[in-house]
Amino acid sequence: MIRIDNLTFGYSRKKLLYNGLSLSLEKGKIYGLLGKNGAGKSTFLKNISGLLFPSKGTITVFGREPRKRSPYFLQNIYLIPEEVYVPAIPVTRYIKIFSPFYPLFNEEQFFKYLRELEVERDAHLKALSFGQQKKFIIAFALACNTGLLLLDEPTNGLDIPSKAQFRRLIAGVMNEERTILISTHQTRDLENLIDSVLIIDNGNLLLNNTIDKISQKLNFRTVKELPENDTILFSEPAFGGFVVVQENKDNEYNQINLEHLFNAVVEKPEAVKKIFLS
Amino acid sequence: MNNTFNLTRFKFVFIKTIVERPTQIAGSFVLSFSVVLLLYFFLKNLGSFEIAQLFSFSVGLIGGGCFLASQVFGYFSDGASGASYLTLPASTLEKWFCSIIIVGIFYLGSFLLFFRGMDALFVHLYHIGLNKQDPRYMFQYNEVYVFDYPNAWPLFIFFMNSVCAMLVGSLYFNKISFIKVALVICGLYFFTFLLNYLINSMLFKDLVHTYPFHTVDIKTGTEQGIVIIPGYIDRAFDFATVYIVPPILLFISYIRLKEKEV
Repeated sequence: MIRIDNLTFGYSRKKLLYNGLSLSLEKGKIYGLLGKNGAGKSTFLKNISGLLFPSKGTITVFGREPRKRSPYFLQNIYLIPEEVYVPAIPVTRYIKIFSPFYPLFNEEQFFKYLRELEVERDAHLKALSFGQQKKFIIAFALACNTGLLLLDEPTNGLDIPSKAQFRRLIAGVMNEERTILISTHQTRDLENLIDSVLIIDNGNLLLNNTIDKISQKLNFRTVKELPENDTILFSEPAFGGFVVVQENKDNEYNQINLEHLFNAVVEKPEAVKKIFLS
Repeated sequence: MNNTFNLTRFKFVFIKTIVERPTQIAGSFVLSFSVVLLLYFFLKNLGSFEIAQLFSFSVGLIGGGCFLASQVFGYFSDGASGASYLTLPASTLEKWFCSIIIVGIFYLGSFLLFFRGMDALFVHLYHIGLNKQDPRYMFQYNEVYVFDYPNAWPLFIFFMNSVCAMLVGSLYFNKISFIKVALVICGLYFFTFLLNYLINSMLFKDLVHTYPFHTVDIKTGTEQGIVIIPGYIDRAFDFATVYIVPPILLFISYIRLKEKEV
């Protein structure tokens, strides 16, 4: 559904953010895009949505080139940027003027999502707080029923109950025809939500695997003492000992900790790559 | 559905543009009309209807048009608004055409109507305020008439060129584009005048005054004479400012919008 071949992009020619990145994303999955600040997560989403153009390489989404920004392409994607924009109009007017652009928009769903996110349906958009505005845009984007939903740091600005509501909503709207790509550095907001993890660092794709595959290959556990060998990919002092990430040699079932996974992949990319190739 | 232009979708874009930012668009109209009204009123009271009409018409048409032109693509002052505009499911042609219609038809049409109404009212008030017993009555009456639009053709040409330049500029400068483009246009004019003056002062010894592509005045003894520039230069210049420069600028603005990144 999304195919990226040899993507090269940089804000200046001397400093490239991506150099020859290739990957493909399938439909019916929720992808978590993880990376440090400035790693290029937002840039990646902007390239996919046609807001930025690759200097080299190609991107195709539903078989179309995003940079052409054709209406057919745009009505099948929805990008929620980190900072959302809402015009100074009431909710009901927003629906009237923006929903005709999305053929699969469902008004009933929209008001249901709005209720679940506790945003007033009669509100004036500029009178809402930043978090409320973001929830409004999330509800609208979900109700547009686009094939691809791109979310850039969607939980930034949301309070704790809203983060849980957000996770429930995303899980609820997922179907086999949809693809959701969520970029975040708040890994806990994605736990138990995503099917696959993409980790980007220094313009390289360090990991692109499903949660199942990751839990097969890596072991996340707490030990009292650090083992004296170099099989540890990541360790951190924790209550009762150390949390460690290691190769899952015994095929034990274990719960993935995305934060530890991210640290392990960024600290020892080659070792992780080797484990996944074996 | 057609990916280049669809009338229904265009209608939605147009409604969206107007309804989404009514204050900005209506505000630009109101601001421009208010400035024109005040200017006309003060200049007329200073004693000259002719100057009041010409000056306020120029300011309203060119200044107001340029100000609005700097607003219609004003989505890029922040990333979120720019992203929302560019990812709106409509073609670049529809978005671009919508902005052109707002400035080129809506603003121009409403300004001309407003100015005609305001001007006619002031002229009428002047005419009925005259003393019919005054021997100079007919002279005073005939001195003031409503502003003649066809005679203001050069101002319309200036409007077309400056508005098109402002549309292009507003897509290059994301913030305070009105001021930045106005500075570029003024700089360009200044440079053209300076270059023209320098070239002419090298060619003519006693140069008095010169206007690019139009006139060269020189001093010959105690008299002042005009060097007649071949008519084809004047015509070529007029042709370029009407039929070549504005379409090129409009085309550049379309391409720039198509290639705009945020």
